[in-house]
Amino acid sequence: MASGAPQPTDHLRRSFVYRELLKAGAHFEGEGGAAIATHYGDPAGEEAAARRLGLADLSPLARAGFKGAGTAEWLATQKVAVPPESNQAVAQDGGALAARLAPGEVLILGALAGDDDLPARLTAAWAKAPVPPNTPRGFPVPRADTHAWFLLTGADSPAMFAKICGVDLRPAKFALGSIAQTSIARLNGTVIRDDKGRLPAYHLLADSASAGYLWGCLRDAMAEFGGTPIGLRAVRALANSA
Amino acid sequence: MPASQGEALWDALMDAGAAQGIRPFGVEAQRVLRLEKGHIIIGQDTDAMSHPHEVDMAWAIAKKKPFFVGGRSIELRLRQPTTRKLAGFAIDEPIHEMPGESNLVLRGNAIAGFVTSVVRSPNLERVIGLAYVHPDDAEVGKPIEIKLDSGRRLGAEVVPLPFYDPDNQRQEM
Repeated sequence: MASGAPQPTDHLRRSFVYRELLKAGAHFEGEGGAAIATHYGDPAGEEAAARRLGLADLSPLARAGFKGAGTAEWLATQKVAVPPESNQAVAQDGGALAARLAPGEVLILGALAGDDDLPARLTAAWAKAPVPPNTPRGFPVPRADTHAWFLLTGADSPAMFAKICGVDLRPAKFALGSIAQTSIARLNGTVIRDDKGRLPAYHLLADSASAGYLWGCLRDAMAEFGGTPIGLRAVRALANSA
Repeated sequence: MPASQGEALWDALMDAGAAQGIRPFGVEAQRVLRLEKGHIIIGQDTDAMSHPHEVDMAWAIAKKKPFFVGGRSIELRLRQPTTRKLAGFAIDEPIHEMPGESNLVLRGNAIAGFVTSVVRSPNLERVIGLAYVHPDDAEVGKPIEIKLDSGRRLGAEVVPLPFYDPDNQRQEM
């Protein structure tokens, strides 16, 4: 890695697994006040690998959570398309994803393209609303700190998940936009299917304090399929290759 | 403190304290420090039968409240005779066998209580600890006897609490 290249420790916010990423040879770039792994030395090969089985750490990217009575209604006033049912996720116009985890809980994952700031806009709008509120609007939950955010991509990802998760995540059984709040490698986690192009892709969010453990479990489970870590560059390339 | 920034804060603290020789310390050091100050750990120095008077914490009970949860239980307990008291003890070095937590405190051949916490204090250069003893033995200067893991008996002396810095001078440094 070139000296002077951006490093996770240059920033106050750091990925929960940045040491694992460094060991895997990650190259970083600054993104949203943190360093994110953009590639691991072979961006072109990485994109091909991601089509089979790739694991990206998206923890530095923006996300936000809102919970409590009035959450869905308040988000609707903010022009968020909230799924009508729990355990469904829908893409937003700017590329973000709104995942309804419960009648009164919504997780907002920022756009992978990085050009949409919906989580930050919503957090700011919530803070600016009158106190006490005119109508219930729930409360924000700091999902960027409570949960690590990984993305699993590629045709082999359902088979890999079958080793560590009891939910059948094959595309024929787990529709696009479905959410499973379940156990992954014995850890509570949230899986959201959000294909990249025509490839199966799954967001995986889990307790940030156990992120290193989960990363290791995923790498271990991926090994038999030749799965590798992939950077944000490959993720964005996949997303644009519809 | 946002979890994603915890490590950066740690780094900043270590940098800021470098000139003063700041060092990380572990739970064991914390346990020694708290024992030197005579701070009890609920669940270690107390058990299901402990009550505030037994551990000299009656000062923490509200005296003016007409009712509080647990108040009646304390009243009922105080009608019973006190059979044990938590006391600080010390043993001068050298000793060949360190007492352990849960070692019995004997009074003659009767069980009077047990050791709840014990460490070698680097500041006092003695072995210090807390133990439940017979109420008549809880007075400062009284000898107690601890039955060690080997079965041997070791004498100790009841000493005042806290063991270290009783006038809280160190916090004024």
